Amino acid sequence: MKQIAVAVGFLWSVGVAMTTAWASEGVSYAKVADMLYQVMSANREVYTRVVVQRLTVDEKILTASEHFEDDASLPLPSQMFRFVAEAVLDNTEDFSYSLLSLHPINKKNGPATDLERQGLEHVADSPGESFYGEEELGGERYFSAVYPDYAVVEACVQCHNNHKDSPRRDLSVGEVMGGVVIRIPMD
Amino acid sequence: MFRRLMQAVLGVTLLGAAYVAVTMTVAGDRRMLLSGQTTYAHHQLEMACETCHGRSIFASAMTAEKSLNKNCRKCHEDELKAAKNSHSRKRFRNPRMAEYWNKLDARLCTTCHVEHHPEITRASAVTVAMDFCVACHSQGEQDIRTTRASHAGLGFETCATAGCHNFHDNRALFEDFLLGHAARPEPVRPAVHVLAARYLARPGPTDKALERGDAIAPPAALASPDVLGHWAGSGHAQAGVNCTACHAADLAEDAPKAQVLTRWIDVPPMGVCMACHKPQAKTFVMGRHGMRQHPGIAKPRDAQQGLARLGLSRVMPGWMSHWLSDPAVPTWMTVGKARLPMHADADPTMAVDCGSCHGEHNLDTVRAAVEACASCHDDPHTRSYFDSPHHTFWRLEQAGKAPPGSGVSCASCHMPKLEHHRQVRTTHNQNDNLRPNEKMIRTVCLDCHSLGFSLNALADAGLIRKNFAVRPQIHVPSIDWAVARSLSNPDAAEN
Amino acid sequence: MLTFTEELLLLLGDEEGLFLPVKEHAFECALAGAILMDLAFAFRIDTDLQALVITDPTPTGNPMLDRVLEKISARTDVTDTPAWIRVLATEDAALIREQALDSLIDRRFLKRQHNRFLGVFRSVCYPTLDEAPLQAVKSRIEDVVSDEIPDPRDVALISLVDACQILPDLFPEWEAKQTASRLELLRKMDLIGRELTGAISEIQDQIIRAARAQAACFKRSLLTLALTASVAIIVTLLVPSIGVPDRYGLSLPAQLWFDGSWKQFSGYLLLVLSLVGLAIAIALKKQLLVWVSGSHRWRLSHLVLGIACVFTLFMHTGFRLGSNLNAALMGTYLTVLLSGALVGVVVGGAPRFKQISLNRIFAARRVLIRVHALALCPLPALLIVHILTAYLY
Repeated sequence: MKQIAVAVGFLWSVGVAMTTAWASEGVSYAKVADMLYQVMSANREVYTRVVVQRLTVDEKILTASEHFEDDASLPLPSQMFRFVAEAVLDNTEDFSYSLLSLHPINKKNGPATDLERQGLEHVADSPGESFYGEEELGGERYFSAVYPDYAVVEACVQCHNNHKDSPRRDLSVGEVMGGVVIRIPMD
Repeated sequence: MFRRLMQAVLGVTLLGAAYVAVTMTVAGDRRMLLSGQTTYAHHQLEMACETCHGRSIFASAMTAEKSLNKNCRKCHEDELKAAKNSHSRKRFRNPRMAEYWNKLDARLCTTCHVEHHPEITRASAVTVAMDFCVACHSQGEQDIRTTRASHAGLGFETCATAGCHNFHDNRALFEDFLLGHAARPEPVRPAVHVLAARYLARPGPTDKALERGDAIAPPAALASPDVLGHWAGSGHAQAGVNCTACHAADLAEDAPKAQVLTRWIDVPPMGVCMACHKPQAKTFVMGRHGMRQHPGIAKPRDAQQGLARLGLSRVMPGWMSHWLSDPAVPTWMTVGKARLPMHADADPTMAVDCGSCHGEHNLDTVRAAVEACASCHDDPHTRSYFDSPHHTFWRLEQAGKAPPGSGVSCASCHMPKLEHHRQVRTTHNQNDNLRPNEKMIRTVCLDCHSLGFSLNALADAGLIRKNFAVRPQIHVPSIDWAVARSLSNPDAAEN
Repeated sequence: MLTFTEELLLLLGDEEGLFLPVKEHAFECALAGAILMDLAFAFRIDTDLQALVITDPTPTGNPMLDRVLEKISARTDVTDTPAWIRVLATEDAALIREQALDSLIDRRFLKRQHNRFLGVFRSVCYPTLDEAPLQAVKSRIEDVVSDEIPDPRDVALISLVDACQILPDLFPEWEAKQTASRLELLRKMDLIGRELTGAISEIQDQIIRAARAQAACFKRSLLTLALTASVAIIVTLLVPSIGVPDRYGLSLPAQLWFDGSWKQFSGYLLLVLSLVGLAIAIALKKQLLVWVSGSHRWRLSHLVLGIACVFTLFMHTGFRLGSNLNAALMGTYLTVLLSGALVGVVVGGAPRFKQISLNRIFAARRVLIRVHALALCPLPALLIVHILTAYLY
């Protein structure tokens, strides 16, 4: 599990190094955020398909669950996404990202800033669009981008609709469940 | 007369000031600068300031703070990671958490753990008031009193003190874990610590076993029947480890006997043990017994280098720079340096090394599990152990009247068997399970007790003093609340 | 001809152009008395037990005297001699001194010289240019004390000097008893015209009385302040440290005693107060501050600063005595403060300790002052280490 996380983290770092290098040569913040988002969503998709889908559904060797360590199972794709996001913060403060929702299972993944709320509402109301803005946090200015996060497969919807802590239980496949927020410090 | 006195006082002051200045800039004992007693076991390394304070003199306050915190993590990060730290630094480094930085900055250890302030140091070395949860969990969506009916009237001072939550380690306390264990009954007696039983049942390497006659040692050493007998009955002899493996460790195994005897060392250093027992050694230096050998401890400053930095190496005579050397952290913790209550008749100079618990030759793990501990430690918890059911089970197991792994020794709880890469080993960090004591639940308690019983027992300080001789007098309601919440609202969240 | 005021100032000057510290704080009173004597000798005022009255309001031609004469005629609320000495001593002494000094400088007897001590404290001294007038005044006094038949002005001068209690300083070789009996004799002789005798002896009496009253007042304040300081220091030593509330959030104790910026504020405030206290002590010792107001106000302010230090120390530590070098610093600092306060208690309380001999009191005072000075020696080093460790570790 850890190896996978490390490998994904490494790929990320390479992607980040490249994108930040471009940023310094005058690529706009929005473009950098877009590129980071592409890496993130591709990684997530690959993990879901190549690891989770294959081992749990196709080959039925393992299951994926929230308490994957106790259950000796795979981490859920959304957990994997957050682990890597935290691993990135262990290494750099050049950018940060999070997977958030207006109706999260864990309250700490709800909007924490005005811009997050605005962005999450925007991507929920206008599917297909992303949201860009600037905000000041802890005395520093950040460029923040919010991208829609969809319920791609039935498993996402089922878990969210049945989880005891979920505030929303009427999600359906294809619907926007939340958003990915990417932040880049502007100095 | 008065003028003389004044001159004398001024002279002594100047000398003292010069000495302090030298200890601060070059080398020398700086313990007189300590502004207050060092917390818990940190006193063992307080002569090595740079272990924590490792930054340049002219760094800004923020850089100093960061450097201090980096050094905390140097020794404590692994255990925090293992604890699935609920308030991890990386989570709070995300700028979206900026709002919380001013409330209780979880990015810095020093927000809650400040050194040298014994007066405000509470349990777990916390130096903020124990109702610190109020800082972030009393407003808006985070206000637990409004989002959980069961928590409505609770005071914030109870969050972390009632056996329900910890700031860092909640592995045995989170809601799903409570729910998962809620319905499990108390295990049937005699229950067995699974990993201990597995450990005891492991096959020994019988084909290599050595006997008394196989011992390779100088005649003088062989003349002691005790030593020879102890070795012959030990795990070392059974595993084919001859005398020379320790007493002439730097030689190849098949070196000629004559050569072996010329390289004989009467008292081998502990490095010899550690060379083979790496996992045990690694955990040993994480606990209070062996922390003086932790690799994170700063090396003594080199006086000669310090002098050279000031351009003084030529003017200072060698003896002086020798006199000005930094005190090194002693290799061993000794009984006399302990701050916990020790037996009055325990030798204060006795060091805690492998031999002090295991014996040099007999490697008695049974003695090491109980008698060795009780030979130094002298507190109500230790004394009560011998009248506790845990000790009864231990005696029965040792007498062969109960299955292996059913007895509970000091080591069963404080140095439990842990599984790592499918191998069962004894952790030699005897403090890990106590920071906080709920850490014990998963690795020890649940083998023989229900979660509810374990939570109650570990939250009952009086019971711990009595070494669990009676039933818990405290009831931690967390499981009841989790169950009630899941029953009252089986398919919808409370909020 | 010199006025009494000018003569008095000449007598008080020393070789370095500073002024002798006048005992029992009589300086202002003596100046006030001197100017009243000048007016009496110019036949402008007369005194009796009830009142000080103007006998002739015509100006004398000396601006210093005329200003005071004008003031006496203008003010109706002040009537008797003691009141006038009090008023002039408090309201006009500084101006009288300045005017007298100006007059001496104009006549090239003295010069005004501005100095700086340690580059910070400005001080003025008045070195003598012409020794002759001073010698003349001194020899007049000597003549009076020897068996010469004195001139009324000389009798007045010596009574003024006697009131200042500086005769032993001016003529250390004289036998105190002999001088006293001679002065007593002179007082009984009807040497000055009947119209002046009353005025002079009344003025001299009042100078002494006013000076004593002021001294008693000073000692009372000294004792009160010193006792306050002593109690505060003993409380600091004995009262256990004040804890901080076991509640999360900003509390004053937690901020004062455990917050870096507050600690810095109180720490530096303490340092500044201590330095000002030290500066005053040095200035007193070097006589940079004796001027007209006398040294007692500065001595009191030294003590007040000491009390302020004890309270700031409480702000800084909350009765915590610290460990290791911090404890040494605390111990030394409290020794300095306590020995200083006890000097105040001994000096201020002297009139009350009737059964203890003056010698003993002086001995105690000397020992305490030495402890005060000795304990001060290691303080800068300890303080520097304390401040450095706060920032370096």
